[in-house]
Amino acid sequence: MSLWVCLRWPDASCAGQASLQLQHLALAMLRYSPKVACYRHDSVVLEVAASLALFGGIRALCRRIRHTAYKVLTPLNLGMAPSASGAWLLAGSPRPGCRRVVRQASLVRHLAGLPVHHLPEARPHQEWLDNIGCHSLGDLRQLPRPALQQRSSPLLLHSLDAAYAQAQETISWFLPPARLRPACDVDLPRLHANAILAATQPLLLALCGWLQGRQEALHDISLLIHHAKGRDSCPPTRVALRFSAATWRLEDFNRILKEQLQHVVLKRPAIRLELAAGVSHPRAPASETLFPDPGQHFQEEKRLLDLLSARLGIGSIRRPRPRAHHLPEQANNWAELTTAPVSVSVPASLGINPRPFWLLEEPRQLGIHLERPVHQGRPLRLVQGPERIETGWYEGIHHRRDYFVAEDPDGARYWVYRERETGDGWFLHGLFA
Amino acid sequence: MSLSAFLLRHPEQIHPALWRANQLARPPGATVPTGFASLDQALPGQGWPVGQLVEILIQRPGCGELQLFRPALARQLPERSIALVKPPHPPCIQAWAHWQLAPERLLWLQPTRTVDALWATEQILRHNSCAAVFCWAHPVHTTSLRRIQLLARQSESLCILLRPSSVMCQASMAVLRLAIEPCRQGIRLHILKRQGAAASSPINLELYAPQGGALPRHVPVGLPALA
Repeated sequence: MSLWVCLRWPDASCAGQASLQLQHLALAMLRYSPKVACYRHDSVVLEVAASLALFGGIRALCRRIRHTAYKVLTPLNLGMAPSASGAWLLAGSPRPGCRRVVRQASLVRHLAGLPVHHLPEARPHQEWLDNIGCHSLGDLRQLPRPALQQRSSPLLLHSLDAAYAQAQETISWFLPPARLRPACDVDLPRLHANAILAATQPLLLALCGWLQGRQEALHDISLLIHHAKGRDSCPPTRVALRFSAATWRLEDFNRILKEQLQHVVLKRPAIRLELAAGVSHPRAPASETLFPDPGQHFQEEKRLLDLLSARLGIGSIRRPRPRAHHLPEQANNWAELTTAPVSVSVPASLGINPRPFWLLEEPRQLGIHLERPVHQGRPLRLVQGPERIETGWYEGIHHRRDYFVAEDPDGARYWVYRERETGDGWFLHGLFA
Repeated sequence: MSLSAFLLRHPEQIHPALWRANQLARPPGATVPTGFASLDQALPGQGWPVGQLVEILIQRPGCGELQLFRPALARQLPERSIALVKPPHPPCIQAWAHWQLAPERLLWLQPTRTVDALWATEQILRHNSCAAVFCWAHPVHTTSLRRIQLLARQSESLCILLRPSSVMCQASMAVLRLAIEPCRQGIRLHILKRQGAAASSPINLELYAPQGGALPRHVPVGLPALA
């Protein structure tokens, strides 16, 4: 048994202009069923019998479809019936309470009350049907079939049978395009990040449906915000979203976009939004293990790092990249976040001697009192050392340092060194945290 | 002894959330042993509470505040990261390796604003992907503290907030508050707040080998070879 959902424009007059929006709607519906079709120029139908279990039943599925459709377009009428044509007819029904049926018997009952002109194939014969007292689809179905076929067109009888789910209907399925660049015209005179985020939702939904239909995932997309043309026209603003793990979920796109939009400063009103998707790849299959996967942490961490870099900037997130160098400030190298995994290893020869956890960016010169280094007015006592580091002569800057672990009267420990190249100065280089 | 008298003496038999004022509570979540026997005995659950906000008050950076957590971090899952949010100075990778912890676990976040630091901490707790998060934000508003505490309870991370000791008199949502100060060979630790009886005397922890005799020698360990 098949079950169809139809999303139909409530007002037929404005239906023609929005074939692009209808395409977006069809793309967004691909997340609920692969069998989606644009139907009769003003609606989208989808076959949902196989999707009921996944989305938690008829009511839950209808609620989700209605919610998604509302984000893409203005409110649409939702009809449900065992046939596509029946769902389309019920979606156009003037009574909102009678638009969803599941069983054949209720379909017959609900269709019987509809005026005959709701069926487009009956409109050429409407005057004749009125004259013989046939006003509703129920009346039409009770007329003798051979006589009806003789006096009207065979198409009328076939479409009537298709609506009652008694004849096969030819549906040309909607195929997602090979390349997608969803765009929509907007009117956003106020440059507010939340307004742009809301206006982008139809495009993102279309993109997610497209990815779902093709079972693919993306690493990067960019949102182009076109500005009003005029004397002081400016190039479109580009908001780039990057994902370290390929994604296809709306939540992921929305989280990153929300943070990125906080940084965007728009100088002129936006008139058009456009999504440019990067190269999409086939999706990695989901893990089928019962117990939590250790890789789950990596996935969560990648999501976290994407989010953090969207708000803080990629330069604020650092990972260790130690260098094999004798000079501590050279060895303690931190690099910006990169997607490529880099193996981190500390040269064994440098890991033997104790190092302070806080290494000051610039060594601070210490005062001297009675030949002992003084930090913040308190003399330091050398408790460990020296560790001699001589390096840099091959780079032109000769460092000759004797490092000591020093302790102040409180007991806090410091890493200090004496510069032997330039004189007897004492420097504070680290704090033992 | 009758049953009611027994129950009054051991109220934890009635409900785990009940304890007498002179007892230590039994925390609902997991704990990680601190690695210091004297500190373990003073903490509810015999260790650092996982999934709870812990506040450490320090006079100034560099008084052994991270070495306090070194044994606990070594016991955490090795594949999960350890986030340092807005530390006061650049962390030293070699020191971390010297503590026999894997350097690739470190994640250093250096946001420019305190608001961003608190936001980053919240996101780390929300994603629950890090083994521990250390945050050096100051000043922290009470609502932010409350948010972090609520998010920490939903995560499985050690959540440590390091604040200056000047905020000691302010109220805090943290379930555990410690003030640490340096002392000879280690640190002195005051438990300001815990679930249980008020701690009377400070705890001295030895972090460095005592002086005199042979100089402390660290045994070279099998670290990864030069890349």
